[in-house]
Amino acid sequence: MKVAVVIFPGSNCDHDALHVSGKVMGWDVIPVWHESAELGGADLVILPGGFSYGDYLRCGAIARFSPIVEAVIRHAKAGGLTLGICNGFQVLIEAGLLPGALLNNTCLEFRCIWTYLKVQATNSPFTRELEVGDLLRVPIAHGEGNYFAPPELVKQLAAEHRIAFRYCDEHGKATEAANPNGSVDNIAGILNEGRNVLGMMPHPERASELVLGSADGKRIFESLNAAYADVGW
Amino acid sequence: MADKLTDTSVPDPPSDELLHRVGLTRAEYEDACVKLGRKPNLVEMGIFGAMWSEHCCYKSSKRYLKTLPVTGKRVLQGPGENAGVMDLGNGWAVVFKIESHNHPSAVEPFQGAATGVGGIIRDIFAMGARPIALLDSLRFGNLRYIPPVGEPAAAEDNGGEIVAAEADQEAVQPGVVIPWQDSPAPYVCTVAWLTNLRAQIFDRGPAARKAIEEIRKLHGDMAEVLAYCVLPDQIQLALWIADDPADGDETVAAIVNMLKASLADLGEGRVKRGQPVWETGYRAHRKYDQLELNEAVNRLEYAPVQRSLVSQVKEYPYVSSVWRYGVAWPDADAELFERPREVPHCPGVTEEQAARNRYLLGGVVEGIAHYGNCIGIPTVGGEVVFDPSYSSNCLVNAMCVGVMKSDALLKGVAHGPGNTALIVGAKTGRDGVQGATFASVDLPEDYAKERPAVQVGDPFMEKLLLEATLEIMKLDGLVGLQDFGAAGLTCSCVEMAARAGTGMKLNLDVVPQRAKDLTAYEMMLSESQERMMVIVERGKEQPFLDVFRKWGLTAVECGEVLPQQNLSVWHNGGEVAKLPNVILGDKAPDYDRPVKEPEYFANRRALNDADIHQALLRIQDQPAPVLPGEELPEPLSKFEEMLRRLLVSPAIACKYPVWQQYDYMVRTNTLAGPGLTDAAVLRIKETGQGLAVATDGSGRHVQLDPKLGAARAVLEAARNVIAVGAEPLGITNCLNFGNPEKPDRMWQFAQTIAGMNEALGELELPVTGGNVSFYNESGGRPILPTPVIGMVGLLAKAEEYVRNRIESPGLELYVLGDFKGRLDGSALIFDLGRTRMGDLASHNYRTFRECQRFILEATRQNALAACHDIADGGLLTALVEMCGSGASIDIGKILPEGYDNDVHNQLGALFGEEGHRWLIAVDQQHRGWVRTAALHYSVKMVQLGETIDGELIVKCNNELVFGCRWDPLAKLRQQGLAAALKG
Repeated sequence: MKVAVVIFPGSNCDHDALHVSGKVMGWDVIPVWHESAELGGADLVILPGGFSYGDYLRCGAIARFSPIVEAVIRHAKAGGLTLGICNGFQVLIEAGLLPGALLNNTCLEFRCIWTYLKVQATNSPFTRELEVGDLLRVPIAHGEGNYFAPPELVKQLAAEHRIAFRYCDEHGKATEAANPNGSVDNIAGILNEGRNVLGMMPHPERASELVLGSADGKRIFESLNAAYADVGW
Repeated sequence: MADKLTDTSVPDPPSDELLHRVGLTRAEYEDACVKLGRKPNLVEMGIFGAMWSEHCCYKSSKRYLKTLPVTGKRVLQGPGENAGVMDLGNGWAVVFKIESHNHPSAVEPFQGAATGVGGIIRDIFAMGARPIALLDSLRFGNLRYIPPVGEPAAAEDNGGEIVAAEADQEAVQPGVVIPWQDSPAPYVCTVAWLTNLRAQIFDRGPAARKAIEEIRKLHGDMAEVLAYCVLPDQIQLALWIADDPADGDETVAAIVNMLKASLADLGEGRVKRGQPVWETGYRAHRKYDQLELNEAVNRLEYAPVQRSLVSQVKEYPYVSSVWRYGVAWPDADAELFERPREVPHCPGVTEEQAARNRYLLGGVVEGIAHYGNCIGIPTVGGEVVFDPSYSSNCLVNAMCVGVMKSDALLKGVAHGPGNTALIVGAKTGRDGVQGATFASVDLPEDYAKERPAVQVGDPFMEKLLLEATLEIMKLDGLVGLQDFGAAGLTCSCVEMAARAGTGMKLNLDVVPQRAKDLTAYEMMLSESQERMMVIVERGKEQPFLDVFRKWGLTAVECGEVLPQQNLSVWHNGGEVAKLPNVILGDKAPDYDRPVKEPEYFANRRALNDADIHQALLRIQDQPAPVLPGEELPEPLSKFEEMLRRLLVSPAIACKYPVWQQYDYMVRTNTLAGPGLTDAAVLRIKETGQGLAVATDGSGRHVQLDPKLGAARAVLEAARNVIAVGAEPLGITNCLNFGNPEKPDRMWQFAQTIAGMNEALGELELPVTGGNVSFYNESGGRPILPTPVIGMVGLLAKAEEYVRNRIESPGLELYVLGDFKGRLDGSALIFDLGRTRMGDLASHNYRTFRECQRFILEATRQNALAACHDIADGGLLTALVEMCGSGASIDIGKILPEGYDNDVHNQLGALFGEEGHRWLIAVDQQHRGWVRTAALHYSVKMVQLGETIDGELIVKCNNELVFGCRWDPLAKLRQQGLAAALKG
């Protein structure tokens, strides 16, 4: 699989995405600079975490206007696999590829902690190797990851099985205490209508090697591998 | 253009105010004139002020710093550059340095701390290294109100405030004598009664004060109280009932019963529920003449000394007599309850200060998080420590660690006359003008006004600068680069040229500016952040400019390297400063400040039983910590109570409220971040090696004995690195002290250097750089002298490190190392008991090295389930930190023989911090290897016990000392800091 990792000047999880794609998954991965208008024929585009353009305005608000995001929008609309992690999720929302908004954490502080994610939808290339109800131990690291959507949208997302992950406790209960940032309905990641775009606040690339404390995140990348082998995106 | 250099606006001689503003003393100004051969103009005076500031030229410290060991087989770059560099083998090197940003953080915590982080990151990538980790060593005043203890020493420059109390064994002589009448003979008696099973009820201030209040109520009504003494387990009174009453005995009985009844509810936590507080009955002895009475009162007054509660009667707050004061209680309540005691002064923290300390902590942590998280360098460790002396003088020491190919080392040099100087990054503004001089004076009381001297940071800009710098490293024609730190443009130009033996011409007209009408003076001294100077070979500038443009950075040719060793500054077409580098650097002042050993140190002595008891009394003034909704066990053992207090104290409690705000995992190199290991462990993906990094410092030990305390800081940092199984490589140090112009502070500094030298020599470790921060005092009160050590250690294989935590029962626990079993300098007595006295034991380096060899070998053999350094809070605290489920231990083997049932010895074993010890956990499979290896390495190792489920059990030679549930201990530790932050 050919992978492009989009690099904005303020991306800081770009190396992590490149490391997982190249070294852990063995994919053919290239970094793509934000001023580029081409994705180099990538099958999967990863928008990594960071602070794209400093994000002094609103996270991802400026990134949305960069040449590369235009290319990402074209790629996604054509059904190309697109994964936005953390700041990448924020950029996907600003770019209109995913609905809703990401607000300040309710604690009004940055949070870097391990969370448990409960798999909610498996009919996507990102989650097809997972089972509904599986627990993934994956960390978060953000100040603005409080996912918000109006009730009717949340209802629609749930009905269309587009809520990919919910924050939960170690027993799989989506409690308020297990919600690290105040996200509506404990939502941690969502899919687009075409199910080819996933945005999530937690960092699966930080949980893809046991030596880092968990390899649960790798299952998402393995799903993509299987989907690619199967369907050949 | 000589007219610009002769500046007529500077009066001759300059006023005191002008000299103060530029940060020069009159003597320094005159020295500058002599060295220069003329009078400097205003711009030049500013340059002198900055370059000759303590912050830039280390004028008070350099003769001491020169004595530190700076070489070693791995040292690629020692002190004097942007950061130190050590060889890791395999063609890779580690770059690291620590720096303070204390004064800016005390004024504006968020920006002060953020720019401190930014500054140290620039130092690392200026060497050509990719920064991979940050650590922050933070110190604040306490987060809650605490009253002061004792009076400050009279002498202003006494330095410490410790006054040692001399033991006084003399009996009390009556001061006022009650005239005794023989006819009719009065009914006078002493009476005493005990608590149930002699439970310790009145060892707490509130209980004792309540008793005294009740005694006072009955005075004059049924009897006159001539004297009272409230001991932990009994009350003693001397009463004058009336002149020859018939019912004297009944009156005494009535008085005792009334007091027993009114004090019947004080037993909570001390006697079993449902049990009475008092034993039945009492002992009364009638006195028939003056002599008998005096003798009895003498005994009564002397009881606290005889029972080793205090060393002098006047130190005990709960005894009083007519003899001593004319009345049994002096008029003022304050005097009654706060009897002047000869204890060393310990400053308090007012409600207002506590609120500000909470604000400072919040702001500093947020600032660090903001900068580190945004730029994408994980903050993996550090310290958060509290002491009243850091109120309004917080310490923010930031350390950064980077890795690089060892052949790609960059230096801050301006070689090659004619080469181009580029100024890169942010525009220059007025922020931080004279930050260096600001950092070199005592914090003014109205420090909020100093905000303009604090810089503002932009981590996004720095991220661009970082990436661009790492990219230009690969280009042909790069000569040298340096970031703009303290004293901005001035310092960078002078240092780069001085290292290369060249000079620098600067054209200020082209320097990008973000404020209007900046003067040359302001531009030379601005500390605007995120700027660098890059020296490029003439003619090869274009590729550099291209890289900077790619990253959206402004880069401008602002000068060139000169063959003459001058700093030549041009502005508005004229030369505004022309100064020989050598005057600014090599010939900068080098002071041999007077040193004087303070009195408190000369008079130091080890803690005695009375000191310890008094400290415990002070600790018990506050109610014992309890979880919400939890009922305290009854009776609550003193050991459990002390342990609970330590675990909730913010310096010892879990620091998660701080580190959960730091991104400690970004870049996926953090194998062990905060809370999992004694030192953070990072992998180097390219080589498979691991780095163990830790910061350590202990102001309280350095205060008691700067030489031993500083050596201890080095050893403690090493203990942490060794505990993860890594080999210590070297250190960087950040030396935080008070005003060096005061001889006792300077003495502390000199002793600290001597102590560090001793420890570094014994462990064969070099110092590769660091920073000195003087003038950490406010209102004439200095901070605890605080050298902070940043240490880097190497693991051959990153994933082969040892944790400091085990969750499961059934593992054997051992203690390694030498053991002194004393409470001197411990968190219990110094921090909680607020007793700033004691004498430290010397260090046993041989034992230390043996333990190091053993632990490193055990790590290679994968023989340790966990290893944890026994530090703040002592053995029990270390147990709670290490064991997830519970522990059962026997301290018999670590007590001096024959002293096993002495409470103070047991306290020493459980809470003492002397000596250098590690706690290890070993599974069945490896116990054989560990025991054999301990013999082989001749390590002193004692089996302490094992991990169990749900309880803490402490025995001494098989006899139970105390036991308690584990869960509340773990929870108290978890919640301590979070609760304190709420105020």
